Amino acid sequence: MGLDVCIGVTFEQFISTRLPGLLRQAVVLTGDRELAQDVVQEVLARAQVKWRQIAKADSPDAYVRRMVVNEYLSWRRSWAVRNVRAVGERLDAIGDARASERDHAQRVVDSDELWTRLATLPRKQRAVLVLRYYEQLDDVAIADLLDCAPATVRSNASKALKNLRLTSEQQTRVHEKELT
Amino acid sequence: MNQDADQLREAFVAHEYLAPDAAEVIAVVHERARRYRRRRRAVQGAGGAVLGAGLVAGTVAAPGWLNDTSGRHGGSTISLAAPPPLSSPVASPSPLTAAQQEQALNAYFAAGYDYNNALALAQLWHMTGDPTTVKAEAGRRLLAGQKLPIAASPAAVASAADTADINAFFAAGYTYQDAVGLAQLWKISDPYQAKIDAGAKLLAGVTLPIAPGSQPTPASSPTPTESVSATDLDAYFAAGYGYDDALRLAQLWHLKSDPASVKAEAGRRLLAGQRLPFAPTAPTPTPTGSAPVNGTDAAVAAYFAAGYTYDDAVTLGKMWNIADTYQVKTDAGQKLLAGQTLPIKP
Repeated sequence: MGLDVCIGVTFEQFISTRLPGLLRQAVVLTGDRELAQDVVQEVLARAQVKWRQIAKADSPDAYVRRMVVNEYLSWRRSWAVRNVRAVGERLDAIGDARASERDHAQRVVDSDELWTRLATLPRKQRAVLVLRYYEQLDDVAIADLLDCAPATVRSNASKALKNLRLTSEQQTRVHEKELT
Repeated sequence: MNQDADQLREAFVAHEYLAPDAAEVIAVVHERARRYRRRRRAVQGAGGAVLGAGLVAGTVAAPGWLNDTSGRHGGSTISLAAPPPLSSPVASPSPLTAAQQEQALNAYFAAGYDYNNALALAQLWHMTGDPTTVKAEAGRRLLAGQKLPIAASPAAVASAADTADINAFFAAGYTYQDAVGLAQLWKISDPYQAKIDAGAKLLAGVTLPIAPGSQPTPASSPTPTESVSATDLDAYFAAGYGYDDALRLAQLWHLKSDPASVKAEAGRRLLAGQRLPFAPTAPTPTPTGSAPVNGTDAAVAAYFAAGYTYDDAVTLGKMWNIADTYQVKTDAGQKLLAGQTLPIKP
């Protein structure tokens, strides 16, 4: 498989090399192991049905990854409701995020806290952060993928970062209140 | 902003380990694809009669706004006569209220149309901007009894049919864990299919063999923040142990939890004066350091050992048209191990 872009490969060849990457992408996108599994399974099942068409795309890999993002964004509302409740429960465990001296151990803890805060974001905002900072796509490419204007991407990213900071500050205030 | 970027990237990469098991996914994908193919054949055989009937039924109760493209939304008279040409451009469709748009979008998705169909319709109708507007317009036409100029994706039709079952499942108060329990009970490998089957039974008025919410959440579910403390991790890293050691410890201790929890457990034991079953190995795998677990690890190790970074992988990914940076590192490392040079310098 190597360095090609999967053109002309069979579905089986595709998943044998690309599935781990798709699962990593999905779990980062959804923040939830079960949902990531559901999303990837759904996408690949559909992809398998129309693989002949996908295999002709410029990059089947990019095509399927786009399907994963769209599937996550359009995932049924019932999941979102359940997830919000679960996140609310998890927020109790968040501690003070104001670490100025970030050694390795602290970074691991901070990373877990940030991961928990990411779960509170609306799906589109989270998707923009994942595409920008994990997938390293520029705003024009993200806009193309999400079918919106680059300005909308910037706006979503800005709101997401603001929400993450606000959550952090709220947690800090709660923590300080508990200490006094 | 750079700090934000680094922290976010770190958080994302640090949680890649949560990715589900590929083997489990593959089995379900093939099973589900077979189901979609069967339904595709059924839908094609039936000529979309079922969908058509549903849409006609929807039209009977349709409010006046469905047939209105001129901005008059208050009317209640339904006129199905002389619909506009199917592929005619939409002349600035009048805005729908939130409730109308929701109804139209539901009709659009229930008919099996999806995002890609909306893009195709936008082209046909010369509409630009938000695809949601296109979907709403298409949904409005469907509810008005009109046909769309393109057919729905068969897989999406199947998916739309499943959605009603799944919604019924969750509306009855059942959870994902209940689906897992039912899948075990019914000997189905895919909990998703259990949700669909259970939802269909509920819609048919059948009682399920378990009560809603009766299946407990497994104790090993990933909640790292509960058990990970900086003190424990400090002790772990201070003793010279690293990520690979955590993976090895997880195997030795038969732990299925995430590496951070394993590190914390190891740190707790060290703080309690206990010794770990082996001495620390080098924290970052290199060709001359701790033995890589497999060929992929060796390739990634070779990549980093040559001085390349994550950002280099991103650059290479763009050049090679590979979106997955881990795959890029693996491919690049394999090239390096084969004595080849990469198109960029470290």
